[in-house]
Amino acid sequence: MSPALLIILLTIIISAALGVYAGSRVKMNLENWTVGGRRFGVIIMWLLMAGEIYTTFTFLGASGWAYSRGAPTFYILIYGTLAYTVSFFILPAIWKVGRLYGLHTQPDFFIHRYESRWLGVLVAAIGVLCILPYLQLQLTGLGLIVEVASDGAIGSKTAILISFVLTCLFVYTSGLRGAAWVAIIKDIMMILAVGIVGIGVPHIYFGGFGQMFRVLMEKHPGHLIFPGASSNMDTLWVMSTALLTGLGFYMWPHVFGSAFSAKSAETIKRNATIMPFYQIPILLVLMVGFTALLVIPDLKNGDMAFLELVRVTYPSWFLGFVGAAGAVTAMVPSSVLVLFAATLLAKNVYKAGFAPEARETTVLRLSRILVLIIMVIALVLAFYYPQALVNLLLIGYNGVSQFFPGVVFGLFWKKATRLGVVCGLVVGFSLAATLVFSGHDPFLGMNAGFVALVINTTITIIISLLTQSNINNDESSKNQE
Amino acid sequence: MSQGRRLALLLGFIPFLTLVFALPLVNRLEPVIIGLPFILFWIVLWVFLTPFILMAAYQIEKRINGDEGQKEVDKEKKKVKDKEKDKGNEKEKEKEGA
Repeated sequence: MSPALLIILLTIIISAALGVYAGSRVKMNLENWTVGGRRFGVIIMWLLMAGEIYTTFTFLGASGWAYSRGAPTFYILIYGTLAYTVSFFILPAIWKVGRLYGLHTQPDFFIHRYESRWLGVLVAAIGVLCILPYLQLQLTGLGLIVEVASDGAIGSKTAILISFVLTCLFVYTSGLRGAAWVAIIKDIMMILAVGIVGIGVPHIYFGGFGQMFRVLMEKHPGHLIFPGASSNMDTLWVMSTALLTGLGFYMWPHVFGSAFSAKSAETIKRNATIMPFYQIPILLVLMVGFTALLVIPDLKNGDMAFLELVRVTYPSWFLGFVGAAGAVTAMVPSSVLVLFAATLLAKNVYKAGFAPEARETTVLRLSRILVLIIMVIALVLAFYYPQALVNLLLIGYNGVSQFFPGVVFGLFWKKATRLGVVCGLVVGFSLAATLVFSGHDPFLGMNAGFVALVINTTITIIISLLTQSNINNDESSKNQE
Repeated sequence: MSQGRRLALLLGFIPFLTLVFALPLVNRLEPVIIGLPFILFWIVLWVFLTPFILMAAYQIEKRINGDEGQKEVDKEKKKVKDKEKDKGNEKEKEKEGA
């Protein structure tokens, strides 16, 4: 067995074992399984958030975009920073409502604030629709990484299958706690891999990143300013995309839900202040993409830039290490995604929509079964229809961002009404989907999802104001600040 | 809205101002600073400064709202207690029903 193979296998097996162990010491109930018993402190929160934020997209996608598109990729540096700033202001309020009323999921929040079970079902359905392609992307990315890193010794399907079994195992037994613990291994390996390669390759080939950028600016003068090597991603696109994804980031059901796992509102606030430091490794990932453009300029698939550059630069055992880091980097977000998709379906679609009397133990049992079912669906899609969900993936961010007015008005604006939020959400989501699928993204130079979000917000405000008279002013304002 | 909150929000607007609305003004390569083309330097600078801005917002809110914050916590605790009472009542009712 080659050293690379050994490193990859050991890493994913130890990770899964740690994940299972994490849950073995507590009695599992719905509260422990979905929100870690609401006991996570600053450090474990930080690790979990890093676990969710650094997905395979960070590894392959960001370096790939830097390679093939150039400057528009900078939006990734920007949107995370905006997202953490937003979280500083809204997450503590979300946490408070969650703590007071025992909420576990994002639809729970909508149900509670707008007093409508069916709005909860709608939010849950849109959430799962956006999560599924994201989950499949993680699996596909994982297969690709392990196949390249093990030099073909483990085929991509075998890799997906092994990690699928292990991920199911620790999600099933330990829930969110398992994900948080595996995130520790993942974060350490990821930081090491990105740090070594990101600082290393510009140094090895050019003697430093300053020289690397100088050569890049000479050879490809347009690559590092907007619109880079793309034709339709100019400054306006970067601005609107950064805003949309920055506001939308915490609207992902799994990211929103992890807010509930914190020990206190204080924990979340302090966490938010240090989160922007997460962005520094992304800068290193971008450097790898830029270096790759100069060193191996003729790649067919830009997404392979990171791994290919490592392959031609470093010994094979290190490629194995990077591959192992990449594999756990896919496993952690997968586990969180599938956990929240399952909880949304069990609690907010099955229980809220069809069986209001279902007991919590029933919901937990159903959630655990759904983990397996959802993972099998993602697996089948990754194996047999890898392209089927690409369209859905396109509207992932555009879709979840449409929750933003409902959440923020729900927290801070007493006058927001159910009808206003439903109309805004439905129009926003449909508009985003229509624009994307009809090839009108970017629209007037702006991100189509952003256009939809502006219209969504406007509609929510207008209809909320028009429907004021129908509301008893005391009841609607019960959880305001 | 309290004064601390307002000041914190004002600080929180800085990243949006510098990282979104200022972009059309800084979309250029020169001058190259610490080896980075200007646009990238500008973005990295503000990404790096944002945690410190947020820490300042955190401190300001805490200092100005000191007492108010405590009051809010007390109020919440009371709410939670009430809620637990309600839950207790419901359970009792359930038992009676059964």
